Amino acid sequence: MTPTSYAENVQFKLARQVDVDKAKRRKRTINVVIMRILVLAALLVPWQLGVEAGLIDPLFFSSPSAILTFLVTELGSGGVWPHVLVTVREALMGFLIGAVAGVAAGILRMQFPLLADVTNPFLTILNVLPRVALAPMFVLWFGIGEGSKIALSVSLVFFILMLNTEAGIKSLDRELIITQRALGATRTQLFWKVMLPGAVPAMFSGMRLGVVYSLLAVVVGEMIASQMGLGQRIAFYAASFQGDGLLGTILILAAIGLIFNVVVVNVEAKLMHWRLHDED
Amino acid sequence: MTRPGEEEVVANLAGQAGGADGISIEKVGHAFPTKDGGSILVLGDVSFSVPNGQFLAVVGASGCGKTTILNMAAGLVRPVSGRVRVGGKDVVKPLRDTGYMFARDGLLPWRSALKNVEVGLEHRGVPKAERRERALKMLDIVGLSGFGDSYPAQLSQGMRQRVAIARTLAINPATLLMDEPFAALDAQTKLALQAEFLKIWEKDRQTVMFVTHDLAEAVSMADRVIVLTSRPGRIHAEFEIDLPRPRDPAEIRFDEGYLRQLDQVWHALKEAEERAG
Repeated sequence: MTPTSYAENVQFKLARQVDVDKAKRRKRTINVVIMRILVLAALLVPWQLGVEAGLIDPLFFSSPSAILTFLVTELGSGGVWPHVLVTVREALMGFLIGAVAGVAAGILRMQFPLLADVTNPFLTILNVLPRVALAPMFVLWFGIGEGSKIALSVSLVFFILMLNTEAGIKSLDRELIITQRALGATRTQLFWKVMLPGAVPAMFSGMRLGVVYSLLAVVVGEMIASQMGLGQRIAFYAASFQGDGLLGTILILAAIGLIFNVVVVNVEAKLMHWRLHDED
Repeated sequence: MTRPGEEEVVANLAGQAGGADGISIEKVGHAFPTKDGGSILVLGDVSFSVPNGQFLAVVGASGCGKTTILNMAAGLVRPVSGRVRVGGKDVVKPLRDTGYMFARDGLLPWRSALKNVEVGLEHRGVPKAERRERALKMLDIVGLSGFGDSYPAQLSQGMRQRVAIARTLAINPATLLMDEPFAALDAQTKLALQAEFLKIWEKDRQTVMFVTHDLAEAVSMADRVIVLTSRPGRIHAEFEIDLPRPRDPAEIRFDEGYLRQLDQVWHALKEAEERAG
C-alpha cells in the first residue's frame, strides 16, 4: 500500500515537473520570437523614419516601405519571376553537376592513391585560385547565357564536394574496416558497404556548403556579364540608383538560399536518421 | 606432444580431406619496424596448436604480441617468419569460416542491429530471405529478439556486444578468434555475456583462440590456457583447465578447483613478467 502510494506520489510530482518545464520552454520560445521582432523593428523603424524626416537619402539607401512596395509589385506582376527561374536553374544545374563530379572524383582518388598523387598539384592550384577570376574566360567559352554561370558554379562546388568526400573516407573509423575485412568483405564490398555509407555525412556537410556557393557563383557570373538572372538585375539596379530594386532583389536571393539550405538539411535528416536516434 | 613432422602430416591430410584441423602456429616470429630504422621483436619463435573444438585462452601482459598472433590467424597480418595454418591451410587472407571478435563491437552505425548481423552473410552472397531468417535466429539466441530494428546508437554497450556476437556466429564459423571481446563491458554485463557465450559455444564447440589479460576470464572459460612472456612474446607456461562443463563463469567464481587453477596461472604470469622485466 505505502510503496504504491509513494511511487504514485513520485510519478505525480514528476508529471507536474514535466509540465512546468514544458511551460517554461514555451514561454522562452515566445520571448525569443518577441525579441527577434524587436531587433528587426529597431533596424527598420529608424531607417523608415530617418528617410521620412529627410535625414537618410533614399537615393542611396532606399527605405523599408519602398522595398516592400517593390517586392509586392515585382512578385505580384511577375516581372521578376523569369529572372528567378534563370538563377535557380543555373544554381541547381551547377550544384548537381559539381556535386556528382566532386563526389566521384573524391571516391576515385581515395580508391586509387596513384591517381590522387598524380592529380594533387593540379587540383591544389585550381582550388586555391580565386574561381571568380575564371568568370570572363567562361563567358568566352560558354557564351553570355546560362552555360558560363553553370561552369563557374561547377568550378566551386566540385572542389567542396571532392574535399569533403575525401575527408569523409579518410576519417572513417579504421575499426569498422578491419571488422568487415575479418568478416570476409572483399575490396568491392568494403567500398559499397563501409566506405561509401561512412562518407555520406561528410558529403552532406559538403552539400550544405555547396548549394550556398553555387548560388554565389551564378549571381557573380550574372553580375559580370548576363542578360538574365537576379545577378544581372542587381547590377542593373545598382547602376541606375534604384535602391529598392537592389535591396529587394537581395532579399529574394536570401529567400532562395534559405530554401536551398532547408531542402538539403531535410534530405540529410531523412537519410541520417540512424545518427539522430539518440536525440529522440 | 606430437613431433612437428607428424603434426604437419596430419595437418596436410586434414587439409586435403577438406576438413578443419584447428589452428596451428608454427615457429612464428614477428617484428615491427621502428621510426629510427631498427625493429622491435614482438614474437620470438612461438609454436602451439589448438585442436578442433578446443577453447584456448592466451594470456600475457600488454605488448606480448597476443593480438598479433590472432591477427595472423585471421589473415590480417602475415608473420615475418614461420607459418600459421587454420583448418590445415596457410592463412594468407581472411578465411570465410573464421569469425573474429574484437573488444570494440565495430557495428556499422547506419545499419540496424538485424542488418549488422546480416552483413557477414551478405559478404558471402547468402540470399536475402535466408539471411534474414538466420540473423533473426541469431538475435534471438543472444537475447535480443525485438531489437532487430534498433540502431547501434540506441543500444547499450552490452547489447551492442551481443549484436557483435550474433554477427560473428551468423556466418557459422568453424574457428573463432576473440580479442578481449568482453573487455569494454562493466563487471555484471561481462559475467552475463561470458556465461551466454559459453552456453552457445558448448553446443557448437567451435575451435576458439581467445586472447585476454583477464585471468579469471581465461580460467573460467577455456579448456587450456597459454601464458606468454612480455616482449618478445614466448610461451612461458601452459595449463589444462579440467573444470567440468557446462560452466557458468559467475557460479564458478568460488569453486575450489577454479581458484586453485587461477592461482597457478596467476603465479605463472607473474613469473613471466618478472623474467622479462
